Amino acid sequence: MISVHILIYFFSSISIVIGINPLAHKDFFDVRQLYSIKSLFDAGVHLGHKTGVWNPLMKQYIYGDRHGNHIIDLNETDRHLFLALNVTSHIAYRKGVILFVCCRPQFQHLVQKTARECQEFFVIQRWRGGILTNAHKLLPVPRLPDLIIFLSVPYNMDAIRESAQANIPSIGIVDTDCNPNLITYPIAGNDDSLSSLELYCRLFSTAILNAKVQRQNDDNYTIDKSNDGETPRDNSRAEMAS
Amino acid sequence: MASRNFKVGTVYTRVLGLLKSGAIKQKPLWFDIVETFPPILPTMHNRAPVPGRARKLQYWEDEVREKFYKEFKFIEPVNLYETDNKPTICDRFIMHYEQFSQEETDGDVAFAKSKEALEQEGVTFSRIKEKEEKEAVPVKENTASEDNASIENIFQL
Repeated sequence: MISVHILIYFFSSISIVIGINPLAHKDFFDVRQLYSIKSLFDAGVHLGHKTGVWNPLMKQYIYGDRHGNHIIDLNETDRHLFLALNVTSHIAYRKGVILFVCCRPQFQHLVQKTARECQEFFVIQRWRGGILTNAHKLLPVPRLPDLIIFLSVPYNMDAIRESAQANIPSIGIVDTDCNPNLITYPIAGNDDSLSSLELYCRLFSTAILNAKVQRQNDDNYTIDKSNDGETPRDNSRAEMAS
Repeated sequence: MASRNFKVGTVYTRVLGLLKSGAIKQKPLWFDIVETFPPILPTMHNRAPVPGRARKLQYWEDEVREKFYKEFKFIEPVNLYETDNKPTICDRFIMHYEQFSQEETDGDVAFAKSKEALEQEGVTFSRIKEKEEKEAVPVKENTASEDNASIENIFQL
C-alpha cells in the first residue's frame, strides 16, 4: 500500500516536468484503495426501497426482490462509484470547483461538514431556481461549478435539470425510487440511511483531498526544479510557505 | 452558457458542438476528463426502462428456515452491527438439513433427522414447547346469560 503511494507520488511529481498525462492512467489517484464491496455492504448501500415505490428506470441496477424489498446490485454500484470518484479526483486535481447539493434536512449538517473539510462548496438550504441558468443576475460573481454532486436526488430534481441545462456534469446517488436519466454519473445506492451517506461523504472528501495534496506536491516540485539553480532548496521552501 | 437543448445528446456532445461551431472558444475544465472517462451509459433524458420486473430472490433454505421457526420458536440474540456472527441454531440446523437432504428424498424425514443431530450436539427443543403449553391460558367458555341475550330479556340480570 505504502509502496504504491510512493510509486504514484514519484510518477505524478515528474508528470508535469516530463509531461506524463494523468488522464493516461486508469486509476491515477489510487481511488480503488478507498473502498471495497464489503465496506459498501457493511454500510447498507445495497438496501433499496419497497418494491411498490420503485422507478423502472432503475431496473438495471437492481439485483433482485427480497421479500418485497429491492436489493441493489453492488457490482454495478462499484463500477459506477469508481468512475465517479476518479472523475471527481481529476477535477479536483485541475483545481475545479465542486459543489455538494443535499437539501434533505437530515443530512444537511453532514454534507456541510464534508464540503468544509475538503474546502469545496455546498447547497444545503433550498435550491434557488435559476442559480446556474441565471447566474449573472442571481450571483455577484458568476463562477459556475465544474462538477455537482447530488446526495439526495429526489429532493433536487430541479437542480439536476438545471445542471444539465448549464452543461455541467453531475454525480448523483440514486436509490431504487429515483430517476437516473439526466445525471451524468449515477451511482445506485441507498440514500436514506446515515451510515451509507457517511460512507459517500467520506469517499468523496478523501478523493478530493488526495487529489489536492497530489496537486500541491506537483506544484512544489516544479517550483523547486525551476529555482534549483539560483536559490538554495531551504529558502525556496520558506518562500512557498509564506 | 445555459442551453435549452438539454434534452438532445449529452453534456459532452453539446459542449463539443459549441466548440466546433465556435460559440465558445475555451474548453471547460471538465471537458478532457469526461472525454477520457465517459459515463457507462450515455445520458439520455428519455431512456426507456429495461422491460420486466426484478427477479425474486428465493433460496431453498428459506422454506426450511420458515418451518424451523414455526415448529420450535427459538429466539436468539443476534448482533446486527457485527457482520461475522457465529452460526445460530437455525444455521446449524440448515447445515445438517443440507447433508440429510442429499441422502433422503423426503423432506420431513430429513427435518426430523437434523433435529436429532442437533439434539445430540446438546440443543434442547422440548423445553420451550412445554413451557408454552404451561403458560397457555385456557379459553373461557361463554356464560349462559350471554348465550340467550336478546332484546326481550335485556332487563333480566
